Amino acid sequence: MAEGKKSGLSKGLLIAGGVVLLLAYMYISTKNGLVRLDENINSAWSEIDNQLQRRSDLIPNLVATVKGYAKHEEAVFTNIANARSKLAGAQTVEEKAAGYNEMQSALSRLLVVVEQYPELKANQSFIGLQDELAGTENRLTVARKRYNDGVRDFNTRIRSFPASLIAGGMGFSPRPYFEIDQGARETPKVSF
Amino acid sequence: MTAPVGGDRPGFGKKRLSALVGLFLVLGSILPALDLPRAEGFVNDFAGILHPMEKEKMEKLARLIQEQTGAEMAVVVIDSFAPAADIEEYALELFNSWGIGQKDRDNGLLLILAMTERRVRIEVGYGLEGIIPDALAGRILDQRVIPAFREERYGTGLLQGMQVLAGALAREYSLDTIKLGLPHFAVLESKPPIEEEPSFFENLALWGVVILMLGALFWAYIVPFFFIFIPFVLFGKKSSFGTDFYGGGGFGSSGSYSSRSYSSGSRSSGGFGGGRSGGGGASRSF
Repeated sequence: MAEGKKSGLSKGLLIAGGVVLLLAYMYISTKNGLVRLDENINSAWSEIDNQLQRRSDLIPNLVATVKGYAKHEEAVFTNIANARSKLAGAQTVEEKAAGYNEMQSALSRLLVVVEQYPELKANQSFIGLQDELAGTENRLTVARKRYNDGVRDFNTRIRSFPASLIAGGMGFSPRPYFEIDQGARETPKVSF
Repeated sequence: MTAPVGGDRPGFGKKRLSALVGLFLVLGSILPALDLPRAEGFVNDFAGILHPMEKEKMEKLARLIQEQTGAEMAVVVIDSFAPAADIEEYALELFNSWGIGQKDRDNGLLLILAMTERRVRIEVGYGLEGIIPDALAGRILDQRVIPAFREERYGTGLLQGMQVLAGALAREYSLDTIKLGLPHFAVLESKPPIEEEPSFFENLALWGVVILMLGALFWAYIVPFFFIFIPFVLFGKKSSFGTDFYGGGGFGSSGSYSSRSYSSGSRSSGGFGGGRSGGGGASRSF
């Protein structure tokens, strides 16, 4: 009698222990999966940040070169300066995306101006700067795609079962996409 | 590309977000449908415009460069990059799908020509962005590729482009340009003009970094060492965490640099090493 009760008890303990272990395993693997996705987003984000910074560093040179040929286009230069300082002060993803969009339209206007100065278009250092700028734009497009893909994976995961049960408790919340304006989808280009 | 389209009515939150998620899921499943050809070698003429002798010359140069530097140069001619939106998108997809360049060095180069759209692009792998900056890629196209293309001498233009790219690699790795058979225009000046003597402030900055690193080392290793070591000595073996410290490997974890030989052909699926590009390079119309 006593023996049967004991073995029943230990069987129960064993099952309970198994369930606890299984739950712990699921918790840990879910958490690790989320951490990994989260880190993907962070590293993709830092690439966007790098390229935004790189572009901001290129702009003073570009503006200086254009000014040498097109002195009277003050409005365009002011727009770029404003966009650049706005972008420099941006902290969140949304702010940076807004700054990015503003800079994009300011740059498009600059490149429209450039079209009117054939000598400027033939200037070697301008062509080089334009290539660096276009390369940075292209890297930004790639980085933005990687970031948004990462956000999609992450957001899908934390909203679906079973991660949705515990994601909130772990402090994971949906990450924002890096959204761009329709008009800004076209990379501003000077046609050579 | 799969840019999320910013709505014309900003700020109606969740609905738009889920619409976006939906859009992404749709785009995500459509995108890989970009139908990429399989690599046939370093030189891939899918439009059938190259003379066999030109092709042979390019193959030989690419092979030499790979043997001597590990870098992989691919030349691709296609009819059209459609349905990709632009040559940049097509070049990036092709580059990363073929894996041009070695896996851990990302030292690949892609020279790609789309006949229908009359676009040409040099795509540079991550690891060569320092040797071939975008401005140099653009200059190579302007000076050596486009002029020949305008005379419909496509093989000449591609070969000359490759030769200048090889010249840039030769300069970086101090290769013999005569043995590579490079013409005079592909032999670049021995030092890029941008590099100047480090100024006083740059030196100062360098020393600042060194001092900071030493400081970090001090705080990360030496200070904790005393914090753990001193109680260990004072209180003897009762200190429970002392043994932990001696067990753990302090400086041991050395990042091992993969020292595989360049010429050995551990080449993967498409024949290339698995290198990646982040979108560096330059494009031109002609």
